[in-house]
Amino acid sequence: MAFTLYSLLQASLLIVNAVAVLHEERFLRHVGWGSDQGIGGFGEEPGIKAQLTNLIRSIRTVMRVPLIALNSITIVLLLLFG
Amino acid sequence: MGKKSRKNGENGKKIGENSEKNPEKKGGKNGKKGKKWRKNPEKIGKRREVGWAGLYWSVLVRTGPYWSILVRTGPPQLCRWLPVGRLKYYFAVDSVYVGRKLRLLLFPFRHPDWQVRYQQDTPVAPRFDVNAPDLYIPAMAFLTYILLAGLALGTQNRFSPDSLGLVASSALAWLLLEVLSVLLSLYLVTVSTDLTPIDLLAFAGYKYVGMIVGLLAGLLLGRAGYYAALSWCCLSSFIFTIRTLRLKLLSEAAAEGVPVRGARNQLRMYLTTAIGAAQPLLMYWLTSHLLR
Repeated sequence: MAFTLYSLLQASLLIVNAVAVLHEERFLRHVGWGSDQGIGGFGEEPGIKAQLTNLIRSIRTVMRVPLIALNSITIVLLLLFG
Repeated sequence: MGKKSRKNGENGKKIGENSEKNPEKKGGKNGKKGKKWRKNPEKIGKRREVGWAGLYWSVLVRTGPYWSILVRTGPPQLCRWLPVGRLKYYFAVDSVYVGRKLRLLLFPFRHPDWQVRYQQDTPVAPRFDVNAPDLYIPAMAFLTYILLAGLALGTQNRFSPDSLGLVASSALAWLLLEVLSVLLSLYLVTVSTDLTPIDLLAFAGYKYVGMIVGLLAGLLLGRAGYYAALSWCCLSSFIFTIRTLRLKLLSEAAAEGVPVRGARNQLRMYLTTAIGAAQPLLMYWLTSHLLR
C-alpha cells in the first residue's frame, strides 16, 4: 500500500497548482466557468457549478502568494534530497 | 455557527447533575478525569476490572491533564474549522458510553432514536448521550487497527518496522482524504449543517471498529471468517452512517422519512448515500491487503 501522507501532500500541491494556472480570461470564460457568468440570482442557493466557479476563483486569489513560497521550498528540497 | 467558536469560559458550564460532584472545577484545569479519580477512590478498583478497555482508558486518563493544557494554551482563535475549545467534549466519555456505542456500531438496526440531545444550543457531551460523536473510540480503534495490522503482517512473516509505519501513514492519509472530500462535497452541495470537521473525523473513524472485528475474524478463522465478519460490519457501518448523517444533512421533513420532492433534497440524499457507501469500500480496501 503505497498511499502515504507524503504522497497526499504531493498530490494536493500539484492539484492546487493546477487550479491556480486556470486563467480567467483566456480559458474559463470560454468554457463558461468565468466568475461573472451566470451567478446571478440573489434568492435561492447557488447550484454546484456556481459553487465550483466560486471555489476556483477563491483558490486562485488566496493561494497565489503561498503557492510561490510552497513551490520554491519544494523545488529546493527536491533538488537537495531527491 | 458563532456558537462553535465560543471560548472555554462558556463551554466550561457543567450539566446540572455533575456540578455538585465537581464544585471547584475550573475550565478543566486538571481534567475532569483527575478530579473524579480523587473524589471516588472506590471506583478505581471497579474500573480496573474492565480489561483491555480499562488499559486504554487508564492511558487516556493519565494523559488527561496534558490534553486540557493543550486545549487551553492553543491559539485563541484557530479558525472556525478547529473548535479547539470543544475538543475536550469529544473525550468526555465513560465506560458505559463506550460499551453502548460499540454495541450501536456493530448492531445499529434496533436503535429507535438517533437524534443528538442538545443542552442550550450546544450538543451534550458524549457521556450523557449515546448518539453524540466522540473522538475516543476512533482514536483507540485507529491505534488498535495499527497494532492488529502489525500482528497480521507478523503471522505471515511479512513484518518489518517500515511496513508498520507505512500502514499507519496510509490509514491516516485515507482518513484525511475522506474527511477532506466530505467537506468539499458538503461545500459544493451548500448544505447548512452544524457538522464540524471534528465530527466528520469522528464518523470517519468509527469504521475502524468494524475493521478490527473483520481483521480479528480473519486472523482467527481464516478467509471465510474474514468475509463473513467484514460483510456484517460493512452493512452495520453503512446503516449507522446513513442514519446518523440523515438527521444532520437532510431537511426536517425528509429526515422523518417522508419522501420530499425537489432536486435539493435528492442531491442531499445522494450525498448521504455516497458517504455511507464509501465506508464499506474503505473498510475492505484497508484490510484486504493485510490478510493475503
